Amino acid sequence: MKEKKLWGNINAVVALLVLLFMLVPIIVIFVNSFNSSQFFSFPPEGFTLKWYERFLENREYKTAIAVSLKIATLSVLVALLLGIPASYGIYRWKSPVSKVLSSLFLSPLMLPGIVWAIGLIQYYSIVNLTGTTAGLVAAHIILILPYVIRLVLSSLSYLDFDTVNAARTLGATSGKAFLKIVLPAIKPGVIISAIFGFMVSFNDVTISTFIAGTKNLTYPVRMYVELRTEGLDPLAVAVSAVIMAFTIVIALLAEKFWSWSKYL
Amino acid sequence: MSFLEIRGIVKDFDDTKVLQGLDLDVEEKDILVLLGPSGCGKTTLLRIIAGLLDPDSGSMTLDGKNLLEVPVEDRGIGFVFQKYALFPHMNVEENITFGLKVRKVGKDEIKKRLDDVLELVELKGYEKRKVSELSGGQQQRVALARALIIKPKLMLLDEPLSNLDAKLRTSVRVNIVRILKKLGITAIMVTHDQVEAMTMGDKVVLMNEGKISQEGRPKDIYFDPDNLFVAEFLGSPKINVLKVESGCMNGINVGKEMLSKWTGLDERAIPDGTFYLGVRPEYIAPADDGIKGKIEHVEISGADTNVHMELLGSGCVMRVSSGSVEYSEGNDVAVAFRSGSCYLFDSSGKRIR
Repeated sequence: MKEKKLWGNINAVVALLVLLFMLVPIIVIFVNSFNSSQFFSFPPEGFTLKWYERFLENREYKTAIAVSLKIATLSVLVALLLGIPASYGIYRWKSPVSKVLSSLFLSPLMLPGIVWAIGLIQYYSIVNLTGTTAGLVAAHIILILPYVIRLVLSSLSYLDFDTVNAARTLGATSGKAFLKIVLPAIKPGVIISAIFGFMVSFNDVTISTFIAGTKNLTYPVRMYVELRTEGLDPLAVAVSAVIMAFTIVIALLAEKFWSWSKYL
Repeated sequence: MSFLEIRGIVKDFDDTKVLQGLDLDVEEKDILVLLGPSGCGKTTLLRIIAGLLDPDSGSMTLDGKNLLEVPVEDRGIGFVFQKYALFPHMNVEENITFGLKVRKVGKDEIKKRLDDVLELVELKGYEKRKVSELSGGQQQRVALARALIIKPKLMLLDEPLSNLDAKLRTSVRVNIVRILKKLGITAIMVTHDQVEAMTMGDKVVLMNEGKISQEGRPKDIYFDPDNLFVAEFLGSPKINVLKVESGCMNGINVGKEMLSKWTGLDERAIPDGTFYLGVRPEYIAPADDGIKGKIEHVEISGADTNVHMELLGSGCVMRVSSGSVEYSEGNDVAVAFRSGSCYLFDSSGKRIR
């Protein structure tokens, strides 16, 4: 009995330590975004809002965030439009070929991004896609697609295909049965892959650095460039804090309205 | 011409021949039951009729119209799936009215038909329930209502009772027949359960390995089996089958005279060579001057008692009313077959008439 209690306590301590380890960077960023010092220091030297003011005035960061949001949104939409029918095809067409196809679709997950990026630069320079929005979106779609296909396929594995058959016998065309029965059934997979895909696109530095060009500098690329030239800019810390706050608010709202965490 | 006419349906899955040139006629307002062991092709046939599968060859007409030219969604055939296949993201009302909404039926008409069908399946008050909150029996009724509301020309039911517990089955069985008969709907039901088949079907079609083994009224196929497969499939406990080889049973010489005496058949009707003698357990009764046997095991199943015994070197079951006589294991027993109750089958299993 005593031993059990001891193990319970150890468990709790370990869990707490892991949680702390994960949370500390977030806390540090929030606290430091209000630090009056130009340089990183902990504990902070004084309270200021000037970094936030500077951010609101800074066009470059704002444009970069806008670019990131635009690229992520477009990439997710197109990846869903391609990935959902592809997954449905793999699910319906139960043959050895579909197995090969599904592992082929997942293969970008295994490839080191940097290797792929190098190939992409050369290829893009031939077809004149370097620095274009289309080129960047296309690359991000390839990054997102494996997540979409993986998650949608896993949702589809819970679909009782007789519900689709039932809809058909009740008078629904195959298209209508897809919209009314299949889509609602795979909604969890679609929502999660959209969220994941959005984060993958928003986070990507490797590929975007290689092919973004000057016109389409995404937020992480802009930050990376600044970091390389100026060092750790308190402005970047403030921007990160804003993004984080934004993410937390969205996550909480999504939880309240769709309780999305149950799909994870 | 029959209401539903099926001719020469062939269906292969890869290398497996599932249906081998099947013919079937269903009369209007009849309930036809497709009965058979699993893998006999009965569900495949049902799905072909619904249009969920295409046959490799053959033809089908429903009410005189070529069915194979009509896409699934326009066939107007109701289908009740084995696991109900209710739409999990819709409530009871949305499930039931789905078929009317996709057909763009007017709101008032939907309301009216919903009320009627809910009353029919006794689900009034459950409209807004989630289907996952319903019991198996209620889910089954939703599935039935969903198929009925489109006023189908033909209803197909795939093992509709197999997911219900035994107690519920009897009442649901009666209920389904009552509803189908009340609405005068032609129906084809698939089952592997002989009791369901016998009690629900106007006509029973017994299938085996993609072919029809026998079809007819339940009474006829039970009392007048065409072959050994049908005789063995129907009846519980199973019919007793005794093999006779040139007048011998398990090496015991019985001879035509004895066989004639036991079965009540004319000596000339008893074939030479190898054949099978079939007699149902309920047609064996104790008789003092009968065939001698030994009781191996006694099973009391309520009103009836099954007496398992060794008879002429084979295992045999006799079914008697419980309580009349005391039977105990190891005792000797003498039994006789009721006159005219024995079937003879040739070595290929075909009935010798």
